[in-house]
Amino acid sequence: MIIEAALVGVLYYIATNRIWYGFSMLIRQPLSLAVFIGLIFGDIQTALITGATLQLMYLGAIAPGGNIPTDEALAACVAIPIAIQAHVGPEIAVAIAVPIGLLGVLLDELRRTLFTGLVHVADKRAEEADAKGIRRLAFLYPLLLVFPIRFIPAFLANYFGVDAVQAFMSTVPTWVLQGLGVAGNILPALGFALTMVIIGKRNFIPFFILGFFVVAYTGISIVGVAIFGFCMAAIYTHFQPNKQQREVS
Amino acid sequence: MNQESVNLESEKITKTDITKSWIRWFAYSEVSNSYERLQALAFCGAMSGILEKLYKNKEDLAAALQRHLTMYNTQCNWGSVINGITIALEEKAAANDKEDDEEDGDEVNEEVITGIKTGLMGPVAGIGDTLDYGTLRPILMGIFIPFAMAGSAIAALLPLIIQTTFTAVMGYTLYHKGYSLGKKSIVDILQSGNIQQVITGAGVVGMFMMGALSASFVKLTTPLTITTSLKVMQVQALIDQIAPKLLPLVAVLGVYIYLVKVGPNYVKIVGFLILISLIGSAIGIF
Repeated sequence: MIIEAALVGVLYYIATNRIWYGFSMLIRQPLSLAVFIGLIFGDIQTALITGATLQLMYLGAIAPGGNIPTDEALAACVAIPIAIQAHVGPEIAVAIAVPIGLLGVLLDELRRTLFTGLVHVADKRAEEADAKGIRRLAFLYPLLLVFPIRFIPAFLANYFGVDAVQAFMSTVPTWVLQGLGVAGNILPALGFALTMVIIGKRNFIPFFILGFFVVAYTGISIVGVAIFGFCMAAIYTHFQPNKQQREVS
Repeated sequence: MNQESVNLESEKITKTDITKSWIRWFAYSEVSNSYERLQALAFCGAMSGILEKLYKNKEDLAAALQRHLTMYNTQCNWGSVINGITIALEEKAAANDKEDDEEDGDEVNEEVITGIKTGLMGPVAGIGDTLDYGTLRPILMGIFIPFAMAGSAIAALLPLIIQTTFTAVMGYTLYHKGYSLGKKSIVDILQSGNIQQVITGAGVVGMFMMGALSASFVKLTTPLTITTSLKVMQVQALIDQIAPKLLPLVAVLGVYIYLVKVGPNYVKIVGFLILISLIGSAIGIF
């Protein structure tokens, strides 16, 4: 167990140290992490189902101004192992993940407060025209500093967490479990609604309704939906008069 | 502004230098993010190699490093264009330093560079977040989640692989494009009909996709029954007669309306949804 917990700790560190833009924004997603957590605990199936369910809820969670609303990586690194070991369904795992994700925000706040110190050191390096020193402060030092912040919580949660959760689960009344299951099924609504807000076009709501009932009535696959969606977008933009282009020509 | 002088090709900055700066930008961008100045350290670090080449004088280099340690924050992929522009501007500023007799008013100085950076970082972040995380990522996730649920590990990793590749290609291109077009580029990109069409089209696909995913993944039914003297009626069956999956639709639209009207209070909404679910199952309506 100690090895698995340590591996999850390292995984959480890799997922959140933010090296390489693009990669860093996707590796922290529960769906991506699920594969590695599944490998660590030797149960990819459960990991994938739980990770995909978590992913739905976190679909629209972006970080405007760098302030993450919730730490989906910590949520995944704790809830997926619990789902595997305590044999709870993905809906329950989602309910466990929510408070953990919110706790993870504290870790990010700690990190970004700590790094304020680095910027002040960088000011001094700039005065001395020490470009190399600035590069170290921008990359190597934060990577080293953030390791304990990321590794220790994920390690401890995995080392002690699963037993605690298992013991706790056996005392919880059934209506609570059932309610958490309902919540797990509704919470993806938040991910979708957030994404709709980000898209920011309120007059596009009919497209949402259309997409909803195309699936509700026909049950076509999501690839089919994508085909319809892209064609519709092409048709819509084709008939959309483009103001700026008109002004130019 | 005089374009010829802005694009004055200084031999000092090569394509390799710009690529190196881009690699640093992508590697550093969020690593050192701090509350006080956000991506300032990353921006300065990414720019440092270029500045070392441009300013051989220690005082000039110190001044250049200091001006790029001011608060900076954008979306790092689409924001690459700002770095490219900044390199072009710094090159011009360094050239100005040498012939400081130039007083024709088109001098690139600290205020111009900082002004352009801070002016562009906001709008670019808005566009970038919408396209990359409001549209592309949910669509990729939407396509591959069902396969992942069915047990395909490759499908679970494909969004990671595809978006990482897309972002790198995009960032690399924008970095170089920003440089070669100087500061004219962002205005061009923003005003050209193409980007508007891409945003509109992405919005259509995104909305359609959110609807489809909501219907697939948000689940809500009620076990309620209405007992009349004649028969027992299932409330869910009645709802289904109107249209399928109406309750999930109400749930998503309800959250959406709350977000639009009240604001994106993530914690409150999650807490509220869990509370409703618990109460609902306790009194038997879910």
